[in-house]
Amino acid sequence: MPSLFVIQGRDQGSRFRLDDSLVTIGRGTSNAVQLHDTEVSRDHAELNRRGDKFVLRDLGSSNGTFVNGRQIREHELASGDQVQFGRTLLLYTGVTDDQLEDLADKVNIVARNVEDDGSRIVHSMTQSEGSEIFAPPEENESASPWLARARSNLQIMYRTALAVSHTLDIDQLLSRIMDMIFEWVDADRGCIMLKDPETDQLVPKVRRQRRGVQTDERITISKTILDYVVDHNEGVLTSNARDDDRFDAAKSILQLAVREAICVPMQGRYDVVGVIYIDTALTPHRILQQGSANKFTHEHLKLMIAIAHQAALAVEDTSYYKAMVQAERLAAVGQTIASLSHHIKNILQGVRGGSYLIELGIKDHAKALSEGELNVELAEKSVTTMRKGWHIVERNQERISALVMDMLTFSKEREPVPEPSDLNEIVADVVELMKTRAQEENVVLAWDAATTMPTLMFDPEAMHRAVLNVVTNAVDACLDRDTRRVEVATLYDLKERMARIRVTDTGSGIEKEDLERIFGVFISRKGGRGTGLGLPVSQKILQEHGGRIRVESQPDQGSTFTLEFPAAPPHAAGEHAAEAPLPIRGGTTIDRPPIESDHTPEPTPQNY
Amino acid sequence: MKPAPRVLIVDESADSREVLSTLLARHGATTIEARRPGQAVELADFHQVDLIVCDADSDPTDQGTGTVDLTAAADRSGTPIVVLGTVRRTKYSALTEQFLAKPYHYRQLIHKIEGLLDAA
Repeated sequence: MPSLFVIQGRDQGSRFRLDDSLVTIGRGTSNAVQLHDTEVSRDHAELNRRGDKFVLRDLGSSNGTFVNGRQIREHELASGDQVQFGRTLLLYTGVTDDQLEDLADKVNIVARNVEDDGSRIVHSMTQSEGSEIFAPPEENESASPWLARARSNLQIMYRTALAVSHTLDIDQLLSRIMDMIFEWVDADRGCIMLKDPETDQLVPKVRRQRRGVQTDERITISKTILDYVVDHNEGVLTSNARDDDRFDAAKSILQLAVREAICVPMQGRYDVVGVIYIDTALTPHRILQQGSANKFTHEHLKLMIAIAHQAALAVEDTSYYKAMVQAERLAAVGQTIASLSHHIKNILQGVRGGSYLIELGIKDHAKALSEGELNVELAEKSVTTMRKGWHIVERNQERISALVMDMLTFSKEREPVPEPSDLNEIVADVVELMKTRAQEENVVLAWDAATTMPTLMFDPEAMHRAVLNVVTNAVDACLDRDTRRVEVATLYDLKERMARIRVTDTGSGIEKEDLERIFGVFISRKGGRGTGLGLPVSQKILQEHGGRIRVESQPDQGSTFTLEFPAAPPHAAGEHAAEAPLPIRGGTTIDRPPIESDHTPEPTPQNY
Repeated sequence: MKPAPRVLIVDESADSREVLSTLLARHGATTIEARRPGQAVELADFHQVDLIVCDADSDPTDQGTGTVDLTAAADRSGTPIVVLGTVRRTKYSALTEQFLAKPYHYRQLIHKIEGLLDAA
């Protein structure tokens, strides 16, 4: 799907999918691509689809439309083009080339003894050994100075590329670049400045000084030189030594020092993203020693330009990565907000409806009393209306409470608070809570408690929530079905020391490819009813207990969710003994060893 | 005697259906209920309803095709339809369609329904 991705500007991180054949771009709210940039015209430009390409046309905007730095009136975009409106820079991604053959199915990875063509490994080499391509030549090899220089420069470039590829943190990246420059160039001071995307001004980001260089002097860089470097995209070597035929070492003694500097543009894929500046001061002693007032040479300038280009590409990659992360974050936040507001809106609608019925009921009641004699029929009708309204308000109160609890549970990094608890009791309570709802929806709710369930250490509130969410889902899954049945059972596996809660429904089942996705946040197949938080919350709770949720499902045949966690008995003195069985419901305690299976065939489940 | 108007309520929320049914009963209308727009097309046709009230957010299909089909069917039969939803889609447009954004006030909805039934 073609798209525009904002890599710079107020809307940084936003992605606009280009669905339609005409896509308008501008500051105005009616635009498909709305940019919050005061330098963008209300109706700035438009994109017209022609086949699988898009043609960008400027609509007479005040500040123009630019593609890859060049102003255009009309331009067919290619994937990777950078488009600029005002101060906003966007990256265009086109349709992927369907002409490219997918060769994945034409590659066979075969076991060693199959289709053996006799190939053997004859030599292997590590990464560090490979980088020794740049090692100085053997003594018996003749090496020209040019070759030696080229080899050295290549080594620097290789190491630069390696160094900048290992970090996506921009400050770390710039620091590393500065370190490398000081390693290879005998500079005294250096700094890297990056262009501020908002103001387009160069802002110092990193400054370095060679150890032993005694100066607190600020690095003063001529704006003229900076502007020249950026505008012309050229590196410069500057010196404050007199460029004079008569200049000689003797005269330079009269000067305190000669300062030389190199300033190079950081040229990225499309634009200059900043500059690198280094300088050095030559003392009179040094000038006399080397017989020259020059330390930096053309070679240094070439090297710095090459390093700056590598650095610029790395900075761009870091910026894109940041924008991508920002986009993903925005998308996630956006989805969360959209989903939550949708659910809250539905709940609010329910509260409004219930309140309105109560209001009408109150009016009817007042009318029934106002006519001298009590109008019994009207009074009864009014109470029925109020009761109906109240139940609706109550239900929606529960819904908002459940939503908030789910949100809190999901968002909190909390350890469960285990206490000696009866799992049968917890699950029975869930079933009891769901009884009314199941009856209303004509869903048979069957409950089969394990006859042997020892007291276990777990967080009863959290487990209640986890089971409630799964049982609610099971009831909801049955609503569109002819057969509506949900079976809830607890099991205690002595051999594996696991406690299990099994919830089986006769819903429409879950497709295989959806089985993993159902635990994703805000993935709900229940339309407006589901918050998309129930299963993720339940899974989180089970994981906090060291357990998990297993799902078995067949489309059109229903699903079974098994919540299981390690059965940790209480160990503290005075608490129940670890393996003491609990009383069977309604009966007396029977002392018998626990059953070594995870299924108890009797008694008959209680049906609601 | 004029027969009681028949209104088809399409909403996955049982609460919303209950409220609207109660309110319409007070105004002398009978109601038929459906949970999804996809189910509603046949019901509307079978019961020869006088008005449809459809919650578009109850449509689980991609791009709301269920609601689009329902509004198209209403259009063909000349049945007034009120669509309730978060976002009004241009695809819903029908000659007989009215849109009310959620969350709406029931007083406003009833007023709209009464107007449409009287006009019919």
